[in-house]
Amino acid sequence: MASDGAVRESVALNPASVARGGFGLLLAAALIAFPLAASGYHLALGISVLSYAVLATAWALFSGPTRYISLATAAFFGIGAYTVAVLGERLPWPAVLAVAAVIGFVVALVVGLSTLRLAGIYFVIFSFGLAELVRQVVTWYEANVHHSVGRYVFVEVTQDMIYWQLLALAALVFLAGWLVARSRLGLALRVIGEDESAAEHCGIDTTRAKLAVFALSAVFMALTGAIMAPRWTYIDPVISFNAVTSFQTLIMALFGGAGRLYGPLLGVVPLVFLFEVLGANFPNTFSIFLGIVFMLIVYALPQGVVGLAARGLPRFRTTGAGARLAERLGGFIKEPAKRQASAGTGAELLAARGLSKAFGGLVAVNALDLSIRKGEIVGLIGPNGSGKTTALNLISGALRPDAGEIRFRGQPISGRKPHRIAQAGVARTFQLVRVLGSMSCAENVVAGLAFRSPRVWNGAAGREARSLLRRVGLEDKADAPAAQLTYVEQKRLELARALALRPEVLLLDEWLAGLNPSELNEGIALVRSLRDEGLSIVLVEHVMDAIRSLCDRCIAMNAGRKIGDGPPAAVLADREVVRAYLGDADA
Amino acid sequence: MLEIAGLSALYGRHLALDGVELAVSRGEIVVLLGANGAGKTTLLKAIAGLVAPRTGANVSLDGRSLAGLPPHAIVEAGVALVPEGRGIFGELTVRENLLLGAHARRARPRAAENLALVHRLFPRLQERSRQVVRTMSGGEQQMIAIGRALMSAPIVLMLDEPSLGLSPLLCSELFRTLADIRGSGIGILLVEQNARQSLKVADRGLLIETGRIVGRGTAAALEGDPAVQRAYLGAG
Amino acid sequence: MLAGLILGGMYALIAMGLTLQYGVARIMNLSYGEFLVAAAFVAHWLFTAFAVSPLLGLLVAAPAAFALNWAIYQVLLMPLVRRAKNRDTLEVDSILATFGLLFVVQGVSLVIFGGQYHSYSYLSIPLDILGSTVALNRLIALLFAAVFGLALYLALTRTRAGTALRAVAVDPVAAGLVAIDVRRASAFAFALGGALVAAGGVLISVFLTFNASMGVVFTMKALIVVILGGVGNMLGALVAGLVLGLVETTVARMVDPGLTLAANYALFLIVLLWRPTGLFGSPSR
Repeated sequence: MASDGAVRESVALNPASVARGGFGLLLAAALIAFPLAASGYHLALGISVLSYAVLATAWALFSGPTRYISLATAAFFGIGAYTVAVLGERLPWPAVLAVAAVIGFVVALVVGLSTLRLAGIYFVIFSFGLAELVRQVVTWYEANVHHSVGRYVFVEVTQDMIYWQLLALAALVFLAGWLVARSRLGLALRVIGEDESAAEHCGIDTTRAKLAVFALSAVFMALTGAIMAPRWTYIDPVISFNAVTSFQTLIMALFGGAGRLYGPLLGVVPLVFLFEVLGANFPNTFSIFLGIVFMLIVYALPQGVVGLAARGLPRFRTTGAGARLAERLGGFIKEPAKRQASAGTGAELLAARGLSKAFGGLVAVNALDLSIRKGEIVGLIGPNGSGKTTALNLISGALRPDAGEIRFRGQPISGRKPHRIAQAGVARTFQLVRVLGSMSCAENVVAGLAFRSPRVWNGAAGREARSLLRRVGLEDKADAPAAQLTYVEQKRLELARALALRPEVLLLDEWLAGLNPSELNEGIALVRSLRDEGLSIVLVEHVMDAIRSLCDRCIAMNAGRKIGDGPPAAVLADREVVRAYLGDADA
Repeated sequence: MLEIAGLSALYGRHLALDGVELAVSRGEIVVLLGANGAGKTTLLKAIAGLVAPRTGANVSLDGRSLAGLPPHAIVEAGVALVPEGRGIFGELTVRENLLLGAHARRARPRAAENLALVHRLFPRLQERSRQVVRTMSGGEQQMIAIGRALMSAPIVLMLDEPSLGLSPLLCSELFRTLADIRGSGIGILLVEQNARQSLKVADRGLLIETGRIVGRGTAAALEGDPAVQRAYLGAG
Repeated sequence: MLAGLILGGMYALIAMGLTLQYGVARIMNLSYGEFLVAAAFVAHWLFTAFAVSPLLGLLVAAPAAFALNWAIYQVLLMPLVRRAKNRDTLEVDSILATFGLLFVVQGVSLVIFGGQYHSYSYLSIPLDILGSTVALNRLIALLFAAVFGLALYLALTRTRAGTALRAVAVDPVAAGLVAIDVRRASAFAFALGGALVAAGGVLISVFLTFNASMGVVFTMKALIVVILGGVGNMLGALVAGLVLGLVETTVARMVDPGLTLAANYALFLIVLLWRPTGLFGSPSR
């Protein structure tokens, strides 16, 4: 049972878990009973802590793993608060909360769809001004349609009720974070944060994943704003959409550490108290202190407090009750399309006709025709700048062709997104190795298993990951962080991840480069054994010994065009190919 | 004279250079041959200061140590690099690119004289002084890149695959130009894939494989050496 | 139409400094607008307390801002530059650091000058030009701004140092290969950008009513202009500024003055989705 080494959450009644459970119950009871004992100032402090706990944890839900810094907290908070101001007297309270959540969700979707496709930096800028933008729109609406800016909030909610609602919301956000972290969505986010390009080639629909969690975090922020609204008797756009909210959320989450679920909480508690003290004693210079504290955090604690304390990697649990529950609830990532049954021997798997791609004035690939059959190892050779890697990028979907088409098993794939092509059965490695450094080797491979068609998850994923690592000779490094591997080991890890997709065609981009003779022989043997299992392989290489010994067929390119296609010995002796490589003897 | 000994460098976690040793004197062309991934580009970058060499490396120009200096200081000392991809400023004009080449303090007093030299070598550049470089052809961009490096009044000029993307005719022009530059007393360290043509113009050659120098000799000796063909095309 | 162009011209010139800071030094300065407002406050103070004309106030504000921003770059931003593995990391780190700086500067402005709106009257004589009424002070401000713009353009294109700055914006690695000290050039560009934004602040204080919390809006507009124009591209920023000004005045006139920021954002998004590197940006960044 324990042979796969994966962590299983035990429900056995041993002293440690009883103690933990007992302590947890006591803590929960204390939190729930708190308003009965405290009042006034202390209750207000408790409410403050809870509201920021929700905001910061919700913020870290998205911005933590993906590393897209969102400065839009105030926008969603304000949306929630303003919804209460507008609808508070017209609808029953639960309905108002629901409306606030829905509006937050919709706005997040709209914002996300338009900005998440842009480079990360533009997302940050856009989120920065979002609160300002929403405030302007709301002010305009109030001034012109409602004819008075600012509303009175007459909703009768006691401080105790606000506290308990926030406590429930906090429990929910932690539950949501806990579930996401154990689901494939959580894995997808972490992979996206590490290397978005690698994520796409693992079959992850990055846009959908980012959007889903961005919207989820926005819902929590909006609900927090809605619950907090009755504390103010008068709300106007300036109060509700206050940039300080975004700022404090950011500070707390970064201080505590956005890398783990409980990280932001560690930042919220001390900082709420700190800001209370500062705000009380230095009301006029509060902003300045806020800024200084923030800058100190950016300089001194780039990983947050959690980063100081945490050693090793956060374990990603693919097994156990939590993971199973998460999987049943989460349906965000659409089941990839069913794959066609394996093709018969000799069938044409990949066909490219008239493929062209230019960058500015430089034509990288020029009317290329390519054909790969099942069970072939085809070498793709050519001098520097001949267009080999561009050709691979066009096939894997990393680039869109300007002209021509590519078909895989008869279905057109040219111009489709990389994750679809990966799911269809085309996997690749990269010239500059893209492993997920902060994740363990097993997790790197699971990234390839979890999003393919048909997907593998939970216990099966752990087992299959280890078997793939065994295949490439990395089984004893299964739990080591990928960043600690040597160059050659990282290349093998990337191969294991590509194999995890169970591809029919494997694109290897200079996979055998930089190896000493014995490593080269091992690598060649590994590639040969993969073909013997039925894989078709396209090998971009400069190591000609490998080409000669491995390839059934060899395609030579020069200046974007195909200049040779046939058995390696013939192609490498062809006069035009030799001239392309060594240059002209006659000037 | 540019002298290098015990130069090792990492590319990520990969040992790209392992104890490389070579020398380039004034007025000679040394060509560095080898397959891709062998470490040629990393070697030039390490000399130019773009890649940090591991401690213990000895890189010196006329006895003055260059190891560990930032790139602009190395150019200031007299070693100029024409990188792969040319490294020219696409949005600026030909004239601006060339004048920027003389930004180094050592080059400023001789800027006018060097500009005349560049125009003599590449008359086409004088005609197109005000043209934005991005709009020019590959061959012309290569001329600008070399011209700009010459403007820095270098003692040693390093070029990384200058023949990339050039037609055979432009290639031969390029190699003729390199011979001219050698004639003016500048030392040239040339990394090339075009082994045949570069060996015809070079004085000496070095063969590099997985970060190590595995062969040396005069260009004439290497021309007929089957080891060169093997390095690129494998045993056959 | 004229008003739109005047507004656009002001935007373009306000964005000049950020073009230098982001284009050359690669610092995404979120506190940019705060310095604009701070300079406006200083001009106001000089005028109301010492009856110093804002045009003379420029002579005080600009050099002071240069020195201040140089110090900020060396002390605050250099550690980030040294720490950053590549340009993208530096951009994110600089966003966070300048976000903090934003609150510090805004806080200082609030403490010294208070939160209320300020304005002063200087040459507010209406003129009739081409059928529209334009205030003299706006025109003078625009004139000065145009002079600065022209001076900057000439400096960047005709001097060696200026061309070196442009080279760093295009390709910092290649710039190192022509013996340009990239770090020193970045510090200079950042400081110069700070001086320019201070000059801009003094100029707009002449006709605009401002308070301490308006910085964010100016930062946003400057960011939009810089990015739309293609990072590091001065002429692109000019065109983008003019377009922004025209769009804004059109929206203000035909739809509602309260929706100008929304219009700015819509423009921002549409252009970026159509051309991800800006109107004139080069694909190889």
